[in-house]
Amino acid sequence: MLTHEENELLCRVGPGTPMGTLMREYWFPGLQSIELPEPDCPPVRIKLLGEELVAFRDSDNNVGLVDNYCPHRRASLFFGRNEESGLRCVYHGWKFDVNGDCVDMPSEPAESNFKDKVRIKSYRCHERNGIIWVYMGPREVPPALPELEGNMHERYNITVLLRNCNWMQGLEGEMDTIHVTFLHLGHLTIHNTEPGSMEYHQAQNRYGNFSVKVTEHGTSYGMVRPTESGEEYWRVGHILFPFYAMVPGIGNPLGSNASFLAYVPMDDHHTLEWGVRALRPGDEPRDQLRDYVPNGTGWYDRYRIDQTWANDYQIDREAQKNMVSFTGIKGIRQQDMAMTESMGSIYDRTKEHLGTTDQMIIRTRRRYMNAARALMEDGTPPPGLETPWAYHQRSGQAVIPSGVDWWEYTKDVRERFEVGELAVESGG
Amino acid sequence: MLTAEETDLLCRVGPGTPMGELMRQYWLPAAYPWELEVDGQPQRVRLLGEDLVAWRDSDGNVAFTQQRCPHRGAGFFFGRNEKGGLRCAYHGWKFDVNGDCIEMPNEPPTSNFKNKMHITSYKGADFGGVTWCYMGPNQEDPPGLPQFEWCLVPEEQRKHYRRFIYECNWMQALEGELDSTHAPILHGRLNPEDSPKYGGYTVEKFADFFVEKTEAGLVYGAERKQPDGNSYWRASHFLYPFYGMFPATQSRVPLSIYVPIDDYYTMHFGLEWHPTEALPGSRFPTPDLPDEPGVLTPNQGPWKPEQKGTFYANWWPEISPETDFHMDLWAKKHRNFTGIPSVRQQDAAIEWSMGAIMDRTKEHLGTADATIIRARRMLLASARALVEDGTVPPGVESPEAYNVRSVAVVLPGGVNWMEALSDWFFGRTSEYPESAGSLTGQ
Repeated sequence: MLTHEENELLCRVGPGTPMGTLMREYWFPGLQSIELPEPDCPPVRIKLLGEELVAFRDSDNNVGLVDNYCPHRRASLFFGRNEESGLRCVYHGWKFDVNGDCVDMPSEPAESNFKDKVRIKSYRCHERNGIIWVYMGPREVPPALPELEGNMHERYNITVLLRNCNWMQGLEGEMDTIHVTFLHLGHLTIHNTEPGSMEYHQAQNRYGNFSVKVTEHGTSYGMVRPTESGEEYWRVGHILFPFYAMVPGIGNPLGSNASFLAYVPMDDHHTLEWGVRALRPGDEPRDQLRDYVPNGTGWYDRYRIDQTWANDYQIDREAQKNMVSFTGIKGIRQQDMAMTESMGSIYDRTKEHLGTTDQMIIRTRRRYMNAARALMEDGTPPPGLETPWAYHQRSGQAVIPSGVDWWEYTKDVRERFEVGELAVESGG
Repeated sequence: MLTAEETDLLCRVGPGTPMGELMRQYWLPAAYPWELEVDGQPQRVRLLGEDLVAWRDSDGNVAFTQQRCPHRGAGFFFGRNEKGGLRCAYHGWKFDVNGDCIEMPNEPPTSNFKNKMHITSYKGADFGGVTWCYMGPNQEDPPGLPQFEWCLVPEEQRKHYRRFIYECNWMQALEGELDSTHAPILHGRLNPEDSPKYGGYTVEKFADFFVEKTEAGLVYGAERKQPDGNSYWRASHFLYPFYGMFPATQSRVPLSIYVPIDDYYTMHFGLEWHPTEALPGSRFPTPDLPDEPGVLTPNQGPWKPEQKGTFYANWWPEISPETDFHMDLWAKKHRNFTGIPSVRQQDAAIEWSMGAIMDRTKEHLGTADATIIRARRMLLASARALVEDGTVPPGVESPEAYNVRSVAVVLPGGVNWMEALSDWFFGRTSEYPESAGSLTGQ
């Protein structure tokens, strides 16, 4: 349980808020490269950390991310003309380059130097393997990009999904690995799973014991259940600042994937959930079991799917009743959406009741609040900011001997980092 | 006229408000029993500003429980209504109809966390073809259910024929029910020679009002003196906290219910019954609208398709603010007063048009508004008395006082209406009062 003030501290990310200030210290994914498919293509409305922005790709293929509002008379640059290395406001023709400099001001006399004094708010962008990373922070020289391996190979799979709730309750779902055995796999029993499989272990023991680590990148957890053979079944995952997660998934052996999730706040009530994975030779993107609605141009019109709150996520009560699935809702992510969005857009944590299996959530929240306070009070750099290699982590599931130190025992596969091309084998 | 403070006191019903506390003393109609199947889908319900889910367990018990799981706030709407309880789909916590946590499979078997966990749960009961909810403080020992005659007669003698959501505060909807003189105007036809199917018609639009207190509310008579010396009486009741009746006929007695969903939405139930005879026709709300413009129906018209994601998803009417209540301009010019095809939606249009909570500092009440003035004064006094010294409001402790009926009848001039009608009013006879003559107009 949190106080109301703590809840606000944890969740709010607009300009000037402690958590918003913390997030602005980092590079993070702003949009996909394919959203700006070619030089001088139409600009795109982008909302990040409560700020309304416009992204564009100039004639030289550089990406710009600028204020939605022209500094002259606040017309939206979404309607602007993207031409000859700059975005021109269609109202009076003021033109800005990707650095935010005003490069043309045809409405003013030729001898005026007003143009040289006017800038538009602009944020640095950097493209890496399909992601346009943005830096909205205060540093003159930004920090390095996080070494998130999922985005460091040339073959990759990226999915993005709009979640109509605060970023933190999405991310909390990734800390809370025990819900998988209910929400996603509650229909499985020891009778309809393969003995010895990961699913079998989960069906056999619904309850799990958590071990939480505070780390350089944020926090990590292992959740253990005894197996019938006297070993231990572990689910291992990580939360990495400011909003990344690596999760054990439904059936992934530990260390098999270079992948991560990101819960990028658009504002306090809307989040884009990114799923990023490096593909091994021969790997193909997995079917996500979701049907996207084509992207529109509005602030919240990107990455919507057809299952929403407004249609109860197309819940099938017959399938629920007959245990075709525990929820009757199609798709793992859609099941998560139903839960996290049903909490209300900012979940009221003064009313919750956390138990022993919520300790990863409790510890991680505390780490976030402490980091935000420390940054505000004396400028302490938050976790991972100055150690990009701290992101060398992998998640997954493993059966290991009983009684060993799981953190040390799994170190080699957990911290595996493959430079160059990924190996064909799938680890584990 | 009321002050702004009085208006708020009268209208607002959320937790902790005086009128909300008053409402919570009573059993509230919340659903039809058939909507809540055994082990069936939980339904989203909002009552007095509180979001709940309603469901029926394996033994047929009804539960009204809090909307969100106490663990991490996931919505119970997505939960599984399984043997003996409702299970949250997120981590499997399971609660019974009393709100006790009976299973917590993600915690260690040795944990006693489960025994400490309880959710808000309100008593439910099926009675008279309605599922009722009691949200008050005496959950262990709730008051008796109101002994309406329609709850006690055999099923074939009652009809639940109307139900929909009003998009306005409950009180202005109830006030419409207490306001006898609007009937021949708002619901009237334009030409006296036309068929009554286009609306009512009376020559005399004016009425004298007589109001008297009763055990569970008040009874009022509206007297319209006739040219032949007789008097046409339309007389009815207001019953705490939100029941009204329009006048009965020999063939049925009606009741209108206005349950506050919150301060801005109201659930209307319309029903009718007969003291002794079976009523013909459907026992469920019917959506049919007349084909001919200007013909009026007592139904509410069709409902919108299931409004998923919203409370009472199946009870949103298509004749609504978004469609200007289907106002037909030709019918309005040639047939009836509004061109709106349903009598009840004519009321809803007017009451919605007053604003979500009508600003009673700006109204101008006349003699014909006597019943409204009295009912408001009673409700305000009862709410204050409850909050100040715990005075139990009228009717809570006398469920039998709800055995009342209304009437429309012609009596000889000068007769004491209460003496002539009270046996019928209070259910002591099943004989409809005899008419002294016919009514001018129809």
